[in-house]
Amino acid sequence: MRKLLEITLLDLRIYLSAASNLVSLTVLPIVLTFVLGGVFSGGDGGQSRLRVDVIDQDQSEASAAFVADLQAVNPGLYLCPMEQSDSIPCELPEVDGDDVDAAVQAVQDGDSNALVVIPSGYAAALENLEPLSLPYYSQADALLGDAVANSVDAVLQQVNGAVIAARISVAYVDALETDLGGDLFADESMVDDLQQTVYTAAETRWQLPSATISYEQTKEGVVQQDGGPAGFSQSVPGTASMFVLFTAISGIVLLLEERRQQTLQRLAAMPLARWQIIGGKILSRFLLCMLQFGIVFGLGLVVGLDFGNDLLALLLVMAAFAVCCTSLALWLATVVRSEGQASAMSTFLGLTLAALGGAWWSLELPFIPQIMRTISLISPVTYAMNGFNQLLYYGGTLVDVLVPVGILLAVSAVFFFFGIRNFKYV
Amino acid sequence: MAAMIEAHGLKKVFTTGDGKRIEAVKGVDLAVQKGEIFSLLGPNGAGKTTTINMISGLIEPTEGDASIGGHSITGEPLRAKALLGVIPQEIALYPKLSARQNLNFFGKMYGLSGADLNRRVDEVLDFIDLRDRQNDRVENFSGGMKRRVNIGVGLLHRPQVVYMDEPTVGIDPQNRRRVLDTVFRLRDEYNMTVLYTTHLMEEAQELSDRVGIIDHGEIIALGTQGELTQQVGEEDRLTIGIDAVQAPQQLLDALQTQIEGVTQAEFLAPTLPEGVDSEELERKGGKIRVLAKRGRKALPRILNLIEEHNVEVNSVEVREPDLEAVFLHLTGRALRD
Ligand SMILES: Nc1ncnc2c1ncn2[C@@H]1O[C@H](COP(=O)(O)OP(=O)(O)O)[C@@H](O)[C@H]1O
Ligand SMILES: [Mg+2]
Repeated sequence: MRKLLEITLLDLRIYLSAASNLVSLTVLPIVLTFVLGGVFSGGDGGQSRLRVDVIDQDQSEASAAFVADLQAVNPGLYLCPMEQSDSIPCELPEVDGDDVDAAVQAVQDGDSNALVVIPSGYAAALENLEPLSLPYYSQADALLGDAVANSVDAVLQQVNGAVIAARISVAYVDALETDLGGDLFADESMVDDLQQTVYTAAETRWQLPSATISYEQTKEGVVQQDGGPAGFSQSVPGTASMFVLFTAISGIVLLLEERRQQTLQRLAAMPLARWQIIGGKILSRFLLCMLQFGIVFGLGLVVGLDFGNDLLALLLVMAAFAVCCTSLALWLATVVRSEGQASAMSTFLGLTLAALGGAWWSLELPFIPQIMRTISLISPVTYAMNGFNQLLYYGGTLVDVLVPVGILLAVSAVFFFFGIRNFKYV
Repeated sequence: MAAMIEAHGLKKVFTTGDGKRIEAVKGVDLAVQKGEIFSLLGPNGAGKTTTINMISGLIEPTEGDASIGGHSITGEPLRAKALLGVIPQEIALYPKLSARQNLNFFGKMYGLSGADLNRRVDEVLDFIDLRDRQNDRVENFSGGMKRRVNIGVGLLHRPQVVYMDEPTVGIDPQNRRRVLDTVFRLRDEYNMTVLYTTHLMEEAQELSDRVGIIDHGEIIALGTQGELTQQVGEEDRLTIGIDAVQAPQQLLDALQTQIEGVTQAEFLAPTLPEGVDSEELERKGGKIRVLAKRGRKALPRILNLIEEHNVEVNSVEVREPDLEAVFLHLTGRALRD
């Protein structure tokens, strides 16, 4: 272990003694953090909302109630056209059954996050407890969850539950009347009133837990009308992730350089085990990545960025991403042959994976096409940014980042396996 | 007693990117005794470095094994490597670090530490005569000085076995002399076993107790210099400069048939750098190379015969059997071809 640490120490010393490395470790990311933080600074930066189009073909009290419930369940939903405003126009005609196709297209184009159609006959179906399906369209990723679907589900549960309660109450009154052999209520309208009262009461009771559950769901990084994290809450983790990626990938060039200047071969001919040499190299890269995170997040601290509620989870996301980038770099070092190839590729790969993964701007911005969000799943930056957003922006805790952290570590395991297996000294 | 360095049936096959198989080493057997200087002599591409890389544990042999001090390089690599100091063909140092920092780091890699490490580093700095420059960055050193540090690193742990892979390539004669003297000091003062590779016949000749000649991945001859030159018999090598750019074929035939002892006669066309005109070429002329037993005695008759063919002789060189001749005899090529 001592030899491993000596190798790590030497690596760090050599890396940090080069002025150009210091610049890319400090000056560049700091400048970029400010630039990106300024360009994409959002308005309030707190509330985030999802645009959901609603076509109400029923135009009944019940359908209006559905819309109101949906809004109540998840205030994060921006319902079109009910909330039509200047800042967010939605050119959806209030009532027009034929426009469903256009609305579906809007979802497919990513103009809207989801579409709910309340078919005509909705109220009647509720009344008679008949099955009815509510067409629902969304482009959300199964992997990242669908906040809108969850909200709709919650409302439907509420509605169904309330209807069932109301029907039960009416049945109960009927049964009582039969048993007692007479009318309990003077006229039928009183039965209707009862049904209505029970329905309302049941629905009110139902609301609380459902609302909580669906609000959790909206924390998932889905498309949001406001564009999700902005300002420093976007640019600090974004820039940090990108430069960590750069720092890691620049290790490829260094490894190849060590091979060219033959010091790697010299080490290999010394009484050192393979794990000591490769482990030393991996550890130094990992530490440099963590240092890079430290520098940019240190800047975040200075500018007053809220680090969220779970510092340990934050550290975990950083470590998982640093490990992932290090493993990627090691594997790449076994694939590329020349240093020129390596440095060209590291620039290209670093920029692409960073932009793809939402390091430059939030993937939740409305103008990002859905296809980009799907492609982004191949970039490790996506998972890091997802984890950071959960913690910094949505105030999540450890459990909220377990999925991205798990994915990053699983990918690292694969890269390490092939990287270490294929690593050659000569 | 078992040999200090042993190799059995070492083979290495490289597969290139486009799927081509290159048999770089085709079954090398070696046994180098303790305290011996053994040279591996062969032209560029013969497989010297690949052999060294295999017996120092840098690359895995495709077949065969090697041992150092009885420890298998594949079975007990750490024990084998602990006895070994490798001085690579290229400068293998961290250019941004000073000579002392390089020595310090590699010393730690050999398991040295504390006062022990410091003492060894001082010793080595004295040995390579760089104590006064120890704190200068290696990148600012001259080629010869880098060479010396490169050698020093391999000696830090006082290895019993030292590999030197063409350590004189690309340095001036003065520093080259220094390296050769160092090799003798390693054997004579420290009783180390040295495996030395070179493509220069003179170096192998001067240094070696025994020589292995390697060509196309195979050891084609192995023994003391006396043993090797005996293989060639008494053949002397005559190189006769003539003022023609071509020698008549009848002359070459006549040399081989009419003069007793001549085994080979061939014309070596003049070679000039590109861009030199043909007039210059004519002035330079070509050479006739003759292999002959008791060549000195045959020389007057050879010169007569050449004159009879109306070819003018400019120069004459006679060499007695040496390693170059052995190589020529075995392969039909000169070492430097
Ligand atoms: N990594 C490699 N991949 C493919 N071929 C190689 C490799 N290393 C060496 N060779 C080939 O093996 C042969 C022997 O090379 P080498 O051992 O370096 O010779 P030497 O050191 O005697 O000049 C050469 O033909 C060389 O091109
Ligand atoms: Mg070589």
